[in-house]
Amino acid sequence: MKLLTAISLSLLISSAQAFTAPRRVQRSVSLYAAEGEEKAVAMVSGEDLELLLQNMEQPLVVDAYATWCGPCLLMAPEFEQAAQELKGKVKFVKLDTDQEEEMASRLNIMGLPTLLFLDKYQDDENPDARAVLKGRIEGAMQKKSILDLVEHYFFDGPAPQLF
Amino acid sequence: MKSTILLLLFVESTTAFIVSPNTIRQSVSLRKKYEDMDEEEKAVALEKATKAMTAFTNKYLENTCTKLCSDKSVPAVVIKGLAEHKLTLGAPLCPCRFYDDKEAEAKDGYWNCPCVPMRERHECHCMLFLTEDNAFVGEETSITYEEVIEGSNIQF
Repeated sequence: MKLLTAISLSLLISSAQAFTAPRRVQRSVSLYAAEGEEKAVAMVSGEDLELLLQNMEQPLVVDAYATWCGPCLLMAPEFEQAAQELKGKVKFVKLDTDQEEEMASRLNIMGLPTLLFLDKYQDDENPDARAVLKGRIEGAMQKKSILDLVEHYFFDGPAPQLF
Repeated sequence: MKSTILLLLFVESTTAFIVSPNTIRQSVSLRKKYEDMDEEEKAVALEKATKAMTAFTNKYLENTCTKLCSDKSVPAVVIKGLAEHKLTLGAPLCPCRFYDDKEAEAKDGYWNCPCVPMRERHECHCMLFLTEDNAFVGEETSITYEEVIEGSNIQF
């Protein structure tokens, strides 16, 4: 299998917290999709992700998380809701960094959770390249912030104010 | 009489250094490595480590005047992660980061809880110790072991 090729870093954003709303967290939203509703977020292995990056059909958002990461838990339902809203338009996946250490290391994951925004890449100068990293961000965030970032990185939306 | 008492005290003090074979075997098993333990021993060790990290969290909240997240499953999960790392790595390495070499990081100490950013600037990426200006800060400044167990029993 071909190794991961030509992911070019166009932007690096790091943050600790991206929530701006002063509301208190409510555990009223289930961690997964509503009962009976199919999950929009797929869990992927390193191999799965590599295949996805080789065959980019739509923009991709990767949530790199770990089992005992509290903020990852906090963000999980928000990520799922964002995925439900953009079903068919943007693909959302999660990568367990405890299980997929090699891929996590390749992706230069540090703080958790980290969101990676990847899009199709087409360049005559680099015909083997398939995907480009449009942006990355660390820290838990609300659905609205995730959607704003998707709009910005994939659909020419304005840069969101996350602080 | 005095000399008898002194003699008895002397004998008692010297025999304190002589341990029975049973005591020796027990001492060795307490120092057993986590990976060499059977399932029952692991469960006991994890419970002990989780209680220790819960106690540490409560004390550190008090020392730093910080508070817990309003959603207590967040600190519950983090405390469980710290306990796991304490057992497997010998130190409570921050569970909210990815490391290329966990053993090396645990030895280095920068990310051992409380990590350097927390100690220097009260910045806790895990959202375990929150300052008043954090959007997710709650009112509570302590968590029980039972709350940790209940709150960390979540599947992604």
